[in-house]
Amino acid sequence: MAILTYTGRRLLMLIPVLLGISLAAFLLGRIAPGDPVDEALFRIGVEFPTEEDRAEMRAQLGLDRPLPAQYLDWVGRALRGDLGRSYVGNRDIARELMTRLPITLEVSLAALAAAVVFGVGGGVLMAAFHGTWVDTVLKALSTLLLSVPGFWLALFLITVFAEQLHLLPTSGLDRGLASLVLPAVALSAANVGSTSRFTRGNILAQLGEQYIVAANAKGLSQKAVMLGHAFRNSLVPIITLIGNYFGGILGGSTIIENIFAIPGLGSYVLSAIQNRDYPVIQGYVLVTGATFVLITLAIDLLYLAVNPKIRIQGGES
Amino acid sequence: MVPDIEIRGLSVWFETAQGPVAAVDDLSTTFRAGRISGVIGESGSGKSVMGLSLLRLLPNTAHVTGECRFGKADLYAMPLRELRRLRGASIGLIPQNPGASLDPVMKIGRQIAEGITAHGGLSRREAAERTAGLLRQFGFADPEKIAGQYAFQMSGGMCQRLVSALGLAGRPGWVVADEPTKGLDAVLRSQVCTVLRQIYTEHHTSMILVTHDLYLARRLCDDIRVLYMGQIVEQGGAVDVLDHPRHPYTAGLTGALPGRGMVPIPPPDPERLDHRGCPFYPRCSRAEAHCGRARPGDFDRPGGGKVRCFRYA
Repeated sequence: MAILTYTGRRLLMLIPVLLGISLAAFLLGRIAPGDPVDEALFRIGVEFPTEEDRAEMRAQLGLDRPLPAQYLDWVGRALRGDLGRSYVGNRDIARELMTRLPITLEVSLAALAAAVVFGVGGGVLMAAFHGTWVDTVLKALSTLLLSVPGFWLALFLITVFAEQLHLLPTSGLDRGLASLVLPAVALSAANVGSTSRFTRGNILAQLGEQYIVAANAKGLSQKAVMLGHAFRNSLVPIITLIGNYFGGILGGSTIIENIFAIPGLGSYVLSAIQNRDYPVIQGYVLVTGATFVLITLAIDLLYLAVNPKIRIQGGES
Repeated sequence: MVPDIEIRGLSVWFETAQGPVAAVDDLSTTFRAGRISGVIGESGSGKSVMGLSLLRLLPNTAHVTGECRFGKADLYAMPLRELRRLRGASIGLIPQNPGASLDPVMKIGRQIAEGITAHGGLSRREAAERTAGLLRQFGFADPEKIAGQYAFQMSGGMCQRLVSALGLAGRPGWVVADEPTKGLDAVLRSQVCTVLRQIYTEHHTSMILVTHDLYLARRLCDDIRVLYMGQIVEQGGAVDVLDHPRHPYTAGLTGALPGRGMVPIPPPDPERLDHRGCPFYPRCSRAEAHCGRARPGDFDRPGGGKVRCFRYA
């Protein structure tokens, strides 16, 4: 019952968030410089429109109606999968976004997986070898990862692993998992650094708790105490942190996709920004915003697995 | 045959931001097997530090010197890997703060079973059966249900019984009960007393009871050590020490009890702080001039035991 209450509350909370995202995306199109009527007329070949042409197109696009009505109309069409057509190339935006979304998700989830495996794994190692040379070396490495810009790291990785060592491809996604390695590493480097430090700090804080004294008193091995007790208890804040990173990874993929010539949402929206193709940008904000919210929901539901108090009593994490 | 626990020259100090702080000062004593031995004193007297030092469960900031003989082993010097084999199996711990001593995200049954399986030899099913038996012994009528629940679903009294079961999971010959009545109301304190008595009588477990609860100590203990600033200032039979205290500090502790006038021990006299004598000298109402100049030794105590006070020299 508590699980249903918790899940129901999380789902209800999605509604205002998604409305907020849709409003932000809609207003972006309205406050952006340039008149969409002129853009629409230009798309059908009217380079020098008259006032009548403009009025007719304005009515045709529904832009003569009050903003709330326009918003409802836009949301209604978006819900039916119609995000309009791009200024450049006059292409179906929804179809384009949906073709590219899986590619971006693939890269972003690979980066997220790297943050989890190397960030959390590194943090556990640092805590287990707290105060030793292993801790010192990994701490220095995490600082390095935190301070290196993603785009620089991307270029460095291409130079070393693709051009010098010929181990991994320089660009594209045609070599399966191998193609994902460099973009994922470049995209997640800073997150690996911060996740490892956060994990280390959380586990060390847990090691000072009374239940750890009790666990040690049972005669458990260091591994059993560290992984079975300290790590399990630090999972909730770690999961929260990693969930928050996903937004940054999704946004950061814009640059990385361009560097690695990956045909995802990032490269699409970057060219749309350069061309001031506002309907595309609107669609991008809506789709990535909704994706982020859904991933956050999935992470919220993960709390159910790691925190029995939520599972049994419901309530906040 | 369960061996005695013999502590020789134990000193513990902690690194703090303000510099090193001594918690236990050159303490030597022997806890005899087959008895309930009490360690009493005010908060900060070093009694819990002494208790936890036996299993080397003190935080990393603690520095421990001395020797602790347990059979042929020296608990303070043996490799940690070997000590882990003794933890829980030879010497168990009933930790203080029962609610905080149970892992909040692990089921109760698994926490107790861990203490059983940690030393090998039993399958998971056998451990579950023994867990259920242990829970039943500690008054849980439906052990299977309790085993599937978490600490936050338990009351304070249930948590106390659970950590007691936890301390006995590995069937140790010795158990250190660390402040088992700290922060509990009168009803729960009475329950704890019953549980500890049950451990001693039914499980034949030798016990070190670390407590500031003099009533509990008087009801349960065979012998008692009174700690002040990390030193044993008086030791002897529990009833005799608490009913006929010889050391001014013990007399102060018992005199502060509700049934004995509730007279608190006076705070340190600022003019006596700079001294090289008895650690209790700044607070002692019976001190003489030489008490501040030299440390007293352990003198024979009338009624048996030892007392660290020049009045008995």
